Amino acid sequence: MSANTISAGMLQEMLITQIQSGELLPGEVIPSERSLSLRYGVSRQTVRNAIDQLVKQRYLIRIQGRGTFVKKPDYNKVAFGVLNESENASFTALVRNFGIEISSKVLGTGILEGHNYFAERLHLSVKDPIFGLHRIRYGNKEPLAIEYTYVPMRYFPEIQDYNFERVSLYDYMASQDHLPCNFRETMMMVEAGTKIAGYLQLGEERIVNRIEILGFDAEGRIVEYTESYSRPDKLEVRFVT
Amino acid sequence: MRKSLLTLNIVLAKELHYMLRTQRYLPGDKLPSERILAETFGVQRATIREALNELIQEGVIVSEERKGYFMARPRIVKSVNFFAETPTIEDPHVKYKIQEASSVLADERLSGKMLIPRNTPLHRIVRLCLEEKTVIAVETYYLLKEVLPDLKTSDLKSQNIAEFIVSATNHGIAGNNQKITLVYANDNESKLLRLPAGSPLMKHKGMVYDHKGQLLVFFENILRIERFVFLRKEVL
Repeated sequence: MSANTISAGMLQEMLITQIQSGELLPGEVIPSERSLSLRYGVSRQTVRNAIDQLVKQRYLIRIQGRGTFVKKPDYNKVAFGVLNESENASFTALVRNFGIEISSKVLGTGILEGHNYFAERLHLSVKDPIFGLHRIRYGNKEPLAIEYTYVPMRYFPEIQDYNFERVSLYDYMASQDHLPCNFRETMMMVEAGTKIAGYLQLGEERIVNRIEILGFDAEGRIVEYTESYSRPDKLEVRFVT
Repeated sequence: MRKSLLTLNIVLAKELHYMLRTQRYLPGDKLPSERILAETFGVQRATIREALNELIQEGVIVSEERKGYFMARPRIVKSVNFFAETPTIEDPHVKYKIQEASSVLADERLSGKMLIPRNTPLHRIVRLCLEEKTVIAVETYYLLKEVLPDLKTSDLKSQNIAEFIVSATNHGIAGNNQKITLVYANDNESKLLRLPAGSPLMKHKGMVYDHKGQLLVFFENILRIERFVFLRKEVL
């Protein structure tokens, strides 16, 4: 691409790419009009037009007397098990507002033995004990998702001693050197049954996101299987690379 | 089974699912009766019914009044890793019909969404996805003419157009950004999908970029909720 073909639109795209790739980070000040115009060989008016557009599209924010900054995202990633606690989780669920306070309620925990389905999912022998953790996840006290998580006890022998209303499951898994960092996921939408509708306090709209996650640790071992049901009006399902 | 505080029907539903799979139940096959299933798993009928309901919700089985439970047709898998080493598997039950292949200039909305100047020349492709005779998705793609000036209708038959564009342009993908949301059918969508206006649908929207940050394709697909599952493969 030769310099004289660059339009405000292209400059806009380049800046967006830099923002999306993390070259420019949220909160970071962008280069001055002058330096952008020199770097890309375009007039300052072109730079100004591109920046105006990006401000309008909420990629950038102008602060009087201080400069133009990359806007912090409108979303807060939720501390949702896999959906957030690792950067590699790609079906990320995002809350559509600022400053969401995440809390959890444990619906039940237990040790499962002799379960073919979970053993197969976790690549275990059917005799290996599996720890199950069923939770409701809240954002600002509003229910956002139900998570049914299953982990092999061989990697987490003391998992029963922890209260996952207080401790983050991923923090605990990291402390045992088995943090899931690679995922295989499926996502669909389903109509929630009475139980899930009740937990999620659904109104007339019964359609929910259903995400199934298989988590692998750094050595490629399967350390987690989770099924989550979440409210599509509160959580966005995204896939970004 | 050791006593646990987990909800029994959720766990039981999984075992039932496993049984159906390992005993090779196929789409349309009838399941054993509630009574027999309850005996097999050593639980009350009410409990097995709850487990069956779990599987109905997951779309594994369907129930037909007075007839019993049957295996559901599996959902169509849509991969979100466009550039995985393994190409998308074409589903033999799915056919495509090109509804529109035209040239347009980016209007205000597209220029905002695609972050391109207004009046940028684009190919606009609208394609229907059919399963047997039912339209299950309406797909709309916009590609920059500059990226792929010659586009033949025969090029648009492959399952994943975004994947096709990438291989045709030889640009390679550097990034993509996709989103799956719940929407309600507008008039046009309800007509094409033969559903009442306002019916819930899935919207799969995305943009694919090459290494220079050049946008290759922008798509907006409207899908029947019950027919699709999205898959994101692990990175090996």
